[in-house]
Amino acid sequence: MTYEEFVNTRLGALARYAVMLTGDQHTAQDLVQETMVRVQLNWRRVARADAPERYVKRMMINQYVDWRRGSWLRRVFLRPDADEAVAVPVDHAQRTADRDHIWSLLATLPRQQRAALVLRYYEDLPDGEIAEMLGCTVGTARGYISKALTRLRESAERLSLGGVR
Amino acid sequence: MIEEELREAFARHEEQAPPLDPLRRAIDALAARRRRRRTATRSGAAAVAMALALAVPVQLWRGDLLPSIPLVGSDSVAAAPTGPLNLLLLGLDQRGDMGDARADTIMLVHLPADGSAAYLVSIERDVAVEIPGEGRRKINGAYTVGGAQGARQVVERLTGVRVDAVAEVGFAALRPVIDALGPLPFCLPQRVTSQHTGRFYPAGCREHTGAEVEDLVRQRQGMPHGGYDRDRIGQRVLLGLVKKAGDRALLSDFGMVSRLASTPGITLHTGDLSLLGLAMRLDRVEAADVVGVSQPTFRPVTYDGWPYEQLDPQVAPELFAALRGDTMNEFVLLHPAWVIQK
Repeated sequence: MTYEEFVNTRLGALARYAVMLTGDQHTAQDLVQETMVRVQLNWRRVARADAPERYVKRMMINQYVDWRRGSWLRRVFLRPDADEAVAVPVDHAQRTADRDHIWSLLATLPRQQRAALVLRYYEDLPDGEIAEMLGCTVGTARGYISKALTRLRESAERLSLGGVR
Repeated sequence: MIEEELREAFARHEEQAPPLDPLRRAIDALAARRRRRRTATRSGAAAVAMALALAVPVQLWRGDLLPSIPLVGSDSVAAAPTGPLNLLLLGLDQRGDMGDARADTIMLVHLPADGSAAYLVSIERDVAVEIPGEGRRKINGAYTVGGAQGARQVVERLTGVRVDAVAEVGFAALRPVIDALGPLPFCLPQRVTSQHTGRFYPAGCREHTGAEVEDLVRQRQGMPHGGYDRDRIGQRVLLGLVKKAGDRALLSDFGMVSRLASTPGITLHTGDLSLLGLAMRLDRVEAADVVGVSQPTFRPVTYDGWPYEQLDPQVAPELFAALRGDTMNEFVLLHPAWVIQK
């Protein structure tokens, strides 16, 4: 496969995947852009991987998880942090807000936990492959998922007790 | 239930994906810019240049063993070793007598078997290690206790990497080397105020004299990431040396090479490696392919009331496995935060 073919067929899926990881369009764009530049410059190496798309997605996860630590993140974080910008649903759009509540809650999770949820519920990967993508053991990957789900459930409950639903 | 909500939320937000055409143009433009920069630093005089750049450890072996034999054209003397090579570079801060010398910069120079690049992997000097007979110590103490051999054993145990050669370089030796080459261009990501001379170095890119470089590589206090920032300065200095050596086409300047090789403060332990072979291996590496790698953040930890530094429990083992398995190219692609930006 050439780089051109890869981009033609896969860029859309990668862009959507980046939205799931980052939670917003601008950060997703930065994430895809930064990763794909490296993919383009190192295409031969990427093409040699058994599954290039999987490989690129793993690159994106690492870039995303390393965000705050890495240098390009410093640049990206000149704009407000998505983590801090948890949208609070407002009355006039209660139905939509209600539906998107879970999306806002996702932004409160640690990055590795969010990545694990994306791999499980967006990419539909089995635990073994999730662990591989995250570079951890299967046990750790399952831990991320169950911790994340518990946290989401608790937050959702608090909210419905508070009368938002 | 919550699982279903998640699936729906993900599906619903697919429409937020950034538009593809502008995205693609941005990727191409950025990649073209980086490719140009890469080409600009690529230099034909890679061979000896690269050797010099690995700061001295390398010209040493040439200097010590082959004081006046031109490398080029002597290909019948030795065959380049096959397989990956790991050289341990110890930067020594020798104030006072030798007994107190500590290895404050500890760097593995990894040369993959395919000769495609050279990786400079820093190990922070405060990392906690077990030293036989001494118990838990900071890794820089391994040199004080056991000299170059002690440092080598500790690094080998920590990383599982076989060290093929060790070079000791006193920080003071950098000055005459750089004075001989001319001012060294490199960039400082943040301003630095010297704790030793009081000098102030602004952030940004400029040329640095030998005295300035010697001062800079000693700085650690007052920088946001302490020893990491110093390691990164050290790596920038090496990368600057690569570039400088390439620009000057040292390949043909044997007077220069032998002058540098006789710099005091530099010692090389090569074991049973053929030095010429090693130098030949470096011939294939070009300036643009030198990659600096270090842990991106400080992870302080306290044992028995003493502060130490901790390696990233997840990524550091991957790094060491990549060194052992000769897959550093994969590692740097997967962990961009660990790569020093040139």
